[in-house]
Amino acid sequence: MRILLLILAIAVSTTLAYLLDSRSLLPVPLGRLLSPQEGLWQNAEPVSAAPNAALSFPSLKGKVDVYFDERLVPHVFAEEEQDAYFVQGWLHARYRLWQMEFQTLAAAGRISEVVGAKAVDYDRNMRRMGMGYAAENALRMIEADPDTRAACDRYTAGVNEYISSLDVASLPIEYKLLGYRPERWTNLKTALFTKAMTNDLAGYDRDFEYTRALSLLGEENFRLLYPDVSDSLSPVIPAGVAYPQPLAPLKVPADADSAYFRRRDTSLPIPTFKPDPANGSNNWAVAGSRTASGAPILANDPHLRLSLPSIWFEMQIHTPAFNAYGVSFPGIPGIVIGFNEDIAFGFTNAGRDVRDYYEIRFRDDLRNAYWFNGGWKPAESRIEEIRVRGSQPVLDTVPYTVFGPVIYDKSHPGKASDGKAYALRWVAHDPSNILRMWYLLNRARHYDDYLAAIRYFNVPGQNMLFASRSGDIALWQQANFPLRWKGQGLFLMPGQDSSYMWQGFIPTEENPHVVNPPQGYISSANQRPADTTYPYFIPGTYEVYRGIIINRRLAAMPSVTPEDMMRLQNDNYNLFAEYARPVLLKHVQPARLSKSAAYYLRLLEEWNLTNDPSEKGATIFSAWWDSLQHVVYTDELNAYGKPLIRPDRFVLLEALLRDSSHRFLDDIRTPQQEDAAQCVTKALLLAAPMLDSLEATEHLAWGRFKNTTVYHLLREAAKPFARPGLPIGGGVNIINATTHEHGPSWRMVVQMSNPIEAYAVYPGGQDGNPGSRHYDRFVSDWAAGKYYRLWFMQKEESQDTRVKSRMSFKP
Amino acid sequence: MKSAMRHFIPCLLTVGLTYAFGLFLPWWSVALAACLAMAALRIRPWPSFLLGFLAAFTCWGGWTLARSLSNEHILAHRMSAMILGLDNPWLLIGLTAAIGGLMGGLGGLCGSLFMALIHPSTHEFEHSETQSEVEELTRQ
Repeated sequence: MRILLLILAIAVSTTLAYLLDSRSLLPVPLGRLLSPQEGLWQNAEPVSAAPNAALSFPSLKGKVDVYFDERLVPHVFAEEEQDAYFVQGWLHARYRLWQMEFQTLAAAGRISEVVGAKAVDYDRNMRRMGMGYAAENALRMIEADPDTRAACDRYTAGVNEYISSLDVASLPIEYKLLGYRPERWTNLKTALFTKAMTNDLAGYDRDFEYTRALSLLGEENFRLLYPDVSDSLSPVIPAGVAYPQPLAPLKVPADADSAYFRRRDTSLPIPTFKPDPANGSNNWAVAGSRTASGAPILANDPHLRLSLPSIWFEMQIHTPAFNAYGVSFPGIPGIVIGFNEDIAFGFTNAGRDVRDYYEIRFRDDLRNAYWFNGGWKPAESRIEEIRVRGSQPVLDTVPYTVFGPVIYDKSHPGKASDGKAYALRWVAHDPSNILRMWYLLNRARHYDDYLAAIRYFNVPGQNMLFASRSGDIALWQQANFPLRWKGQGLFLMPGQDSSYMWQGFIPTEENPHVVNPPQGYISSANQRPADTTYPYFIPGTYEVYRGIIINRRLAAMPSVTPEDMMRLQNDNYNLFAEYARPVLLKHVQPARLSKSAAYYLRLLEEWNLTNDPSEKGATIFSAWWDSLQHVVYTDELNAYGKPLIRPDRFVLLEALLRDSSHRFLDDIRTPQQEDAAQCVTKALLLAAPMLDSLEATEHLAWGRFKNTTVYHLLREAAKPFARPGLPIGGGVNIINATTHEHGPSWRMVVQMSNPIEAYAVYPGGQDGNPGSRHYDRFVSDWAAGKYYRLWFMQKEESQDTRVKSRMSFKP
Repeated sequence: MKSAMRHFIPCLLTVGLTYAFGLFLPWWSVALAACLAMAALRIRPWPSFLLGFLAAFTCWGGWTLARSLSNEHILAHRMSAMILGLDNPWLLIGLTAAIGGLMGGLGGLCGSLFMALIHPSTHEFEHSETQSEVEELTRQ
């Protein structure tokens, strides 16, 4: 009897322990997770905690002092330059380890190892795009350069020293929730991080979509719906700049008309996991001639998907060779956007197309030879092993051609495809060492240094803005941009020979650039870099309106101060609506409106054209315009039973401004002929019920409707880690480009005076731990448009009251 | 007084062992701690469950409470919403304590039943015997 009782008690205890230690009953191992000794409570950092420690690492050459200010920004003072990268790696890992590993696992197509089979499609897509291949090519160049090799080696050593100091209890909470452990950091992971950014910024294309649209709609309609240049373009490079003509014209393939422009193919794969085309940014620089202080001011706000932990980590790095302040990417060494004692630098995305696809004809299903230049050419294959948590690994053989990896074929057909094979040609695959640019920029002193630095940057294309204390302002749009004959690369290209290959790159010195322009300011906001006098064909995904309004505002400012620039970054004026509202008001037929639609019309008429959080007019405008696009295009776009992408926003507006009998206004499903008045009125009537329900739930005000949210990187799985419902205005086409979950990920204004006066804020916090008070510390201030005065700390200031805690690293 | 001591000592021993085991053993060592404590002090089965529960509950609950208070419940707010679907730090702290308590109670019961099996002489759980040991312990 007694023995039975004992057996029973032991059985119950061990079963309970097992269940609470595993994911078999509950989604999380609740016992392990809640244990005060090793579980989540260990991540509940005392709010009064401040990093104070004296650490010793034999691999250091000298002493490194780290001073943390009140916002937990580390100011790193290293006696030896290489030690600074070690400490930067250590600090990134200390505050952001989970995110930096997760983002590089994602880049490598290894998320299935963490979350299981549901990520296999994502991983496979990353592998097929050649992300690992691209990173390996980059790594070879990074490691061939002694400077970047040393920086990466020391950075990696710092990350790994931190990782080896971790035990079960001190792991970041995401590891505990998902149940895995960090692996060793490597220089390859740093290279993978740069490729993840490249994919975010230069991984968007529409080649499949455009080919399908051209095939279904015909050439004329295609050009009307997907034009290359907007009427109202305000290019990065001011109009009137003369461009040199190319030395030799490009050779257009003899069969381009039949085999390319008139090719009809609709059984194409529908690309998935595309990066957000809204990944863009604003930057501008104002020359001393236009500023109150007489010193140039540089402003930059990169627009990315907002996330917690933030993509950025703010810090200062001081070494005998340089002294730079700004934001860094956890995952790579150096300061990415910021300033040093002599210059400031910032970036916006160029949006230029640097990816094309070639149709490949394989000899057979083995896919080890393809037809090229009149013969069967062997394809190299790369075997991708996707390890999957909780099940068997997935193996994928990816053929590599002269163009690049085969992204779709019979074994990876993509959605809706007939299984044809397409190879991806992408500048991101080309060997390059973009880290060298930041290595040199961090220590650049003059325009020439900046110019020498940016040459190392091959992709993603960026508008690289520069301002110096000596008074220069400049911008170069920099990357290796393919030379294209007119129309090349808009659509899928034949890959049976070399005739459709890129014929080189636009010479770097002919990339669009401007130095100290007479107008006294430079700006870029993802618009087309140059007007049509630029002698090259430069397709891309371009913004139209932000650039125009920024230039209008800058031109009207006489004596610019940093405060003006901060206000400008938070400007919610809707220029698109300024152009589009008159079109709506001109065509709408008030007599045909319902009572509620008439009410919204009145609100729209009274609206002040700003997308402030309280404005109902902004929501009404947005809903009406979306509805109008739906009314005008859906009949044509849905007529073929194949998905077609909606034209850019400017296309309909410019069509209506030019011609109120625009051909797409007619609903091809009805016998009668619709016109602008009917479409505009119908659009408002269709939008009214949605607006009614918003009004009824008090969500009609723009801020409530937009519901700006900074999600945790795990998104829905970690919703309580997000910051939802932020009271912030802005939106698409607006300088304050904040949408539901996308927007200014770092706002910076730097006046290159003596001393430098700099302000910045980002929607996150320095510590990636959701149990730290520093996790989302800046979010509310960011939403309110507030900035922090940055402390560009000097060495003598170590006893300053702004130092709240300190760490020392010694050999 | 003596009776209070009789309960206090096994609890204290459980808490001490929980901490010590936790330094090198996984979270379920809280059960092991109660098991050893109750076995060593030869506590009868029913009290052993209660005392093990009480000790582990207090240990896990108190520890958690201290950490969460110094954190101003920042993490407890987020994690209670994630785990329980309810933004209530106290519920999560309570759940933590309850899990610790349950493991401690079951562990204590196992220890007690085990000792009863290998030392049938103490099967009847003579008070005097247990008490003398307790007194011995308190003298040390």
